[in-house]
Amino acid sequence: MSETVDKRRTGPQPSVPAESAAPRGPSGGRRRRPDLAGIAASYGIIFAWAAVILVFSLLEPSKFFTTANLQTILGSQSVLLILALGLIISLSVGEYDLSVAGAMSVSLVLVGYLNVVAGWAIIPAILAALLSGVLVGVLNAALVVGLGVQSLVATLGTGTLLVGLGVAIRGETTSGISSSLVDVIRYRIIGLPLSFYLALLFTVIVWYCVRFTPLGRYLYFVGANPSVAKLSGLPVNRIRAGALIATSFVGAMAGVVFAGTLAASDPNISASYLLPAFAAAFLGSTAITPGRFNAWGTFVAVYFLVTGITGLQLLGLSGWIEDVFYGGSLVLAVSLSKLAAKYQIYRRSRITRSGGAPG
Amino acid sequence: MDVLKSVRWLVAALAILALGVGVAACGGSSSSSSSGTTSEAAGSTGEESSETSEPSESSASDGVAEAEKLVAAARKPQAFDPPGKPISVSGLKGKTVYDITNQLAVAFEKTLTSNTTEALAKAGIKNVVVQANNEVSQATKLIEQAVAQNADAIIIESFKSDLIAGPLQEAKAAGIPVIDLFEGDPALPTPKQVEQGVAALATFCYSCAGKLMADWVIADSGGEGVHGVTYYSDDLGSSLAVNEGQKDEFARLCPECKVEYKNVQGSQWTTKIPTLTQSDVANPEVNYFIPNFDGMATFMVPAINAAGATERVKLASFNANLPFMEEMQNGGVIKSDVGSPVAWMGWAVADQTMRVMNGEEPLEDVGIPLRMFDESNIGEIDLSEPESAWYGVDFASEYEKLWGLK
Repeated sequence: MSETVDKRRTGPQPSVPAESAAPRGPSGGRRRRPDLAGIAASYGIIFAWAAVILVFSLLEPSKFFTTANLQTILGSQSVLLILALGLIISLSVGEYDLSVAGAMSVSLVLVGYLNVVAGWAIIPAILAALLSGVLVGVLNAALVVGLGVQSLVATLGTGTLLVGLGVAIRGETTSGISSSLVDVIRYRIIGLPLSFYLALLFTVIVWYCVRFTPLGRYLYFVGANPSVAKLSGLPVNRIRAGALIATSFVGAMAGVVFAGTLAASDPNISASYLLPAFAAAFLGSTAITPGRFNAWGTFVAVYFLVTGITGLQLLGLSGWIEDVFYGGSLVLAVSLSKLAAKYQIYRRSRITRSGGAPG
Repeated sequence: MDVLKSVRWLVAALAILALGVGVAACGGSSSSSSSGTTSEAAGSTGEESSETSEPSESSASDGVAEAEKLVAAARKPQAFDPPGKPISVSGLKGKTVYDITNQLAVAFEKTLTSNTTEALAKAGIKNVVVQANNEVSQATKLIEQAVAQNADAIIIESFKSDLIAGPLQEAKAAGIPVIDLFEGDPALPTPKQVEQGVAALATFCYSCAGKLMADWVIADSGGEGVHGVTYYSDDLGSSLAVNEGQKDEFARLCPECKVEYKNVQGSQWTTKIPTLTQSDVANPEVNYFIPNFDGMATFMVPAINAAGATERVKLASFNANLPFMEEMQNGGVIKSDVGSPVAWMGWAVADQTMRVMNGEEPLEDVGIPLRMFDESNIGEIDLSEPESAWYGVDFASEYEKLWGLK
């Protein structure tokens, strides 16, 4: 197979360019003012999160600022967080994976079908579900990397195909999934289900792998410029294929966690996770390490959004305002990050000009 | 060569995937209904009945006469029949109910929840309305939220209790009764639902609606030459109940009526129904469309108009939502609509909720009647009035009397 690499970057780009937005060290020995724009770009969403918490705590202290509400907020987003973390792996190499919710759906349905209907023990059922994720990833990689089909198109197709397959395997709700899985996933430590700690652990793993291992760095190189990455000797296509397989595998993992959370399976409930997962990944790319799809940014994005929605609900403001908050937050965060990045470029160019000019 | 290798790889991957799925499907359940448009040839009532008996001429005319009688009764304004014994709601003042709806942008949901809120407010109960956007994850979170906020009761709409069993258990453990809406026909919760944490149900008699739709078609056609097409959604319990009632009624009163049943899941109405209608209306024998819900007609009427078939086919449906009532009043293709009084149901939900909060036995049936609207009575209805006025009953006053507030 030839290592053909697109010359043009057509894949997903984080909302701000990484180099311009990343805070830099002092240059040329000149004393620098604190890089407020850089801090705002990196931690703006955390400040916004804190502001949201503060506002709702003041408005509804007895309802919002309570341990029980904290547990509800943290404990309810595990599946979405895992799915979004899986997504950032393929997004990092510049590939969209619209089939990730389909991979989750097939995995969820397989756990229910194999365990409840076919009578398999829970461990083999989970392994089969995870294997289905790998197969989906292999199919996506074959289409995108092998045949050169655009990932957006290829995974749109495989995603729809997988939703259909999920219904074909088991079209109805299947309850009675083994308590061995359900009890583990729902087991509470300090009031939070184990699924939260799994999602947290997975955030740490993705963060560590991407931040501290060569493979993690390669993902960004490939995503930023596949041609240069190839000229540098990186196995670009293997990395792209691996990233797509990893995303589908993580999607299948999310399906297993979902099965444990629900104690049931259904082929029609996974699709609603697709757009929130993308929203979290893109919103996350504006935070912590702006300009890069990153694990902690995604973590913060997921919980920032659910905190806001919960606060609005507790105020009795349900309905259209939730969508306005959700969509508005995404647009605002991305726009502000872009502005911060532009300001940094402007400021640096001024520093460079003044530093280079004769004194 | 490289391309060949890629293709080989792709084919191999597809084969593995197909094999895996094939194995799963081969051992699959008997109910492997596919999404989209499954035509149930065997579900056609004509075929079902042909296995049983050949109807005689007199029994056929008896069937039509009975259908006409049932339709005539359903056309009249309905009366309020107390669904249960009077209750005292004085002890419920200051309590809070969590009302988990699906989409507040949908008129049905908005009317329902605003009426429940109004009714509960009469007893001094606060109703917190939140929406789950048809997402199980949202519904799960909202039930947990209600538990965390120490709600005194939870109302949840259109989620299969199997899928929210986990949070329902939490509500049960916290002693919070859950009232589950629209899971199917009126009934007491099954032992399984009780174990899951469902304290009471509140729903329309969907099979009655299906029966009435069949009655109208039989009466309108005189039981002759009926070739109907019904669209349903097997992912909605209410839809299955409508279908069951309709099939039973056709089998009972007009076995020779031919009706095809085609499945379109809820999420696929917008994409599948228009194309399906196009192909069905192209069949010159089809003369009745009987979609389970009039919301489906939104996607059907343009195709029927485009085919120039408005004279040949008639559309009979259920729900009596305003746009379709207007279409009927204007002489459009919709000729009958079985009305399910939504505002009334909002009050009935409040009634059932307060009974359960009082620690009383839940009602088996909240007792909401249906009303048939067609060309014979649509002229009498003032569609500029709120939906609550179309049924001819001041149900709000009746409920207040039942609760000792008047």
